Amino acid sequence: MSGDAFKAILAKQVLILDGATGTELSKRGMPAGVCPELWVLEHPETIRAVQGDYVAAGAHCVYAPTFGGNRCKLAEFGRENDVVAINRDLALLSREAAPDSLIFGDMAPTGQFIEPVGDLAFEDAVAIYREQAEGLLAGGVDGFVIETMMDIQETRAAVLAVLELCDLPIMVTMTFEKGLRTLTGNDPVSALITLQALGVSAFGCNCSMGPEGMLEIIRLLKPYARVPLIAKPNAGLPQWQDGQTVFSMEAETFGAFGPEFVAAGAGILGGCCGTTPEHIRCLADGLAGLQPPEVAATRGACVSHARGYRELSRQAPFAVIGERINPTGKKALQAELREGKYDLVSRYADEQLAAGAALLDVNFGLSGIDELGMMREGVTMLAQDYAVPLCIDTTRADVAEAALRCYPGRALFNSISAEKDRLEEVLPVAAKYGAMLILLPVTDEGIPATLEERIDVIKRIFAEAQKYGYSKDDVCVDGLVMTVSASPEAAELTLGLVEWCAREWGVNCVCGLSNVSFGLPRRDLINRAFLGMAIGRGLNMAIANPTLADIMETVAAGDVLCGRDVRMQGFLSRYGSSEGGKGATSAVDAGAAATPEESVRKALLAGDTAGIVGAISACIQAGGKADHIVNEILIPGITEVGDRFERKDFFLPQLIMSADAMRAGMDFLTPLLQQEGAATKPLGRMIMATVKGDIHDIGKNIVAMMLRNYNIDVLDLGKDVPAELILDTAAREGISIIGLSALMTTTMGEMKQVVELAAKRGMNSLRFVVGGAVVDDNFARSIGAYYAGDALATVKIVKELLK
Amino acid sequence: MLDDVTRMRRLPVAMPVAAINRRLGRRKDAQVVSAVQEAQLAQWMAEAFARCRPEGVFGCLAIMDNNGHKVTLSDASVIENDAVARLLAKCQYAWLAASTIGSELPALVNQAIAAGNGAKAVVADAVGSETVEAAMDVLQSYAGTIFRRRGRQLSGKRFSVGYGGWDLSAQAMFFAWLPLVDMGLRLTTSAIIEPEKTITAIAGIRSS
Repeated sequence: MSGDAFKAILAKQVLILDGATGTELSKRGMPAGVCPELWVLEHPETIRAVQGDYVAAGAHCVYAPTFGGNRCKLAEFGRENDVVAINRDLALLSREAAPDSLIFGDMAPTGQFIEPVGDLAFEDAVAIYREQAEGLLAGGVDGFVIETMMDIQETRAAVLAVLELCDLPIMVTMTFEKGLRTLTGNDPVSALITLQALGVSAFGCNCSMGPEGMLEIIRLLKPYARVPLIAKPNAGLPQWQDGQTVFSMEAETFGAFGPEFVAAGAGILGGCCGTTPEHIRCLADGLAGLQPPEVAATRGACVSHARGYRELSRQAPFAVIGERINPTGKKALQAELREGKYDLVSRYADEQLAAGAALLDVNFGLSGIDELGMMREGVTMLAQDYAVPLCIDTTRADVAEAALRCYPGRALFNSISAEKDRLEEVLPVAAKYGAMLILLPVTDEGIPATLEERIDVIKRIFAEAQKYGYSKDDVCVDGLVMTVSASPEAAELTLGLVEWCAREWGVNCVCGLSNVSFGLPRRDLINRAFLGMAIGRGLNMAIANPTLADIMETVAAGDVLCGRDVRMQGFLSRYGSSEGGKGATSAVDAGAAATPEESVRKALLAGDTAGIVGAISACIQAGGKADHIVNEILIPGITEVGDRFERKDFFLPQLIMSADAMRAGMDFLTPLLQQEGAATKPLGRMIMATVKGDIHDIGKNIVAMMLRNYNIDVLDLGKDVPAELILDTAAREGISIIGLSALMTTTMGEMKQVVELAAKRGMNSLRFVVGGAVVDDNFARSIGAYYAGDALATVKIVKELLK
Repeated sequence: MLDDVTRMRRLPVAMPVAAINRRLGRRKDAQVVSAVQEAQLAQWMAEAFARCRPEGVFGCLAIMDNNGHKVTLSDASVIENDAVARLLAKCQYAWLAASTIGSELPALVNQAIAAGNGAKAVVADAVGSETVEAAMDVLQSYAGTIFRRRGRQLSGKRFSVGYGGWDLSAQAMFFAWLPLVDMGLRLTTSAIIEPEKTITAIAGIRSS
């Protein structure tokens, strides 16, 4: 059966699938711990009965009992070399059991993790599924169901295995947990976008949850679905009773959800764990007479990655595609790529995402490097480490194939021109993986001179793409920006194409920006003006450097003016209640500072390490004295910070930010204090150490930093410090206060050792302050030490002791 | 080393923002945080999370005996701890696991401290602590699903070495059970695992 034939069936009726197979086999005698596939072959009458009952109950389609029929699973029973025969025979058995029904070959997780999560190479996973699919195909299945999947990459491997073998329809269902993600972190909408682009005939979910939870997923999927949706829920949520997992939802209750699922958008329904032929009978009864829901996505085209997606449509916010991961004109990146390093690639990714890039363009075209290998490695790294869709940028078909095959989502592909090799070699590859396309109006003869010619070329490329199933939603047009200094009409030509795309033809339009200003001074001005004009004519995407603030500011303002920023949330969150785009203010830093002194205080309270020096400097220029600033502004200010922390009006990072600002201010003021002859002596000295055996020192370091900010001289001995060294140092330096830190129950005992050794040595004037995650007041008292619950408490205790 | 271990080289962990804020003492609606501070905190968190490489491994051993104080496993190893024994009561197997976020995050924390940026260090440290716990949650959740499909139940609770009087010396057993050295982990002579943001855990499995 072809995919189109299956589509025709789904257009006419709600397709009813079978219910649980495993639990039914167990009920009918299959013992625990056996290989279900082998047991079924040995007891064919049982599967005939189970599947016959499902068909009698109203199922139109039954799954061949081949859930664990892949090489990895059969290897647990020593039958990994019989994959093809086992799957073939099981498919034939189902055909006997349900001769008039659709038989779908069932493929499920291998139990292994695909690289980089696990050790299984992607191509090995494809081979594992291909082997199983060959057996199922030999058994005459009508299609394939890839079910209970937890990982998008393993799912893609299974789908590709089938697609590369035959054109039978493929249904995919994944298993989502409570947080509506699979155990490997994939969300339903992204998985749908990825897999429907790849070519599956239907998508949905099975197992893990009952009908109520699954309804929520179907509702989430519906606006994005271009294929029929599947729901195969359990008979309620699993419960552990008397040492067994039970599913307690009654068949009638289960069946009553059928119409709700159809209303939500599911056109294919069945049952998973705990469901029985009676559940399917009730489901079929409830669905009688209902028409399948229309398959019509209401959201525009999307690209995806493993853990999210991005809508690219003229209704969605403007998308900036970060252009930085491209070695052209970047010597440092070129050098790194030649050494096979990706540090700068990671840095560019970090910077562009922080600046608001919606996608990252990835281009490794550089002479002297293995573009294919680098693209595969780079895309794998970026896809794993960054939650952002990628735009694969290459002119080579083999590089495109390497990137798109390993990319665990639906990528944007940059680009398809009307050049012969692009249409004949690159387009089929991009289409195979369902990538969204950037259409570039360039031919083998070069760049068309007029708008009309460019439009003709675009239409010609699109006609070729349509042969692979592309629609207008699946493409965007490159406005092809030329240099205005070389050709005064270049900008208007591009803007004309942008306008035609947006207003007449109805497709997305993208531009690379910087070409327009090439050769001119103040290129930023030209680029920004051009971007604004292009947005006005309908541009909704740009390949640009998002770390340039004026670009992102123009984009943010453009979204507001074009009505793409719903309720202006994006703009307000970025610039709301601010002056000059510095961000919203609050009670801490609200209002203009009345005096230079007030500015210093505000900078301290706001933890503004960078701003406090300028504020102090202004204060001094206005006639303020350094010692006055310290004693009348900084010390009362940091005391106020401490009070706010104790009242929990500030939380820990705020406390420390202010302490850091205090230190920055003191660093600036110290030379001035000396000039004024007012340099303040430290309040006193103390030792800080993490005790022997303990290597955790972050808490101790923070406390030491706070103490220094309060003008206490700290001699930090580090971590894993023996008692002898601590006491020897105290004796040598004449220090009488010792701060000890320990994080583990097993190392806090060492604190006691230090205190006892001090007593033994007769160092009775020493005072100990102890702290750490496992230390409490009782413990501190028991060893004769002061307990400090946090950094501020330590400061208070030490200041008191120094008095 | 256990014969059958499952290793996940990159655990799919989302940044546990709420837990990080809780650890830092942030309370909803209690503190006024300026937009500038908010942006700074978000940037530090993102930078720290980008340095986390959540990885995990788990395996199982049959429980041969559990007298309420001492648990003997099928490899003859013995856990003497009441709390662990309580957790494993009525269980047939012990689930043994470790998760780590690698060494990049601790290095970032140390860099921040060296640069005098204590606030960034505190935030990054909190990100690391909560991310390694979240990694263990993912590992346990995954294993729980796998066991459920096999008719077994993995306890929702778990117990880590170093807590509840379970002596740190037990870390050595985890190094014997699981390929922790292959994961780049090291056990100090004080029985502390390096890199710092690493946890081990035990849970119980009941079969139907």
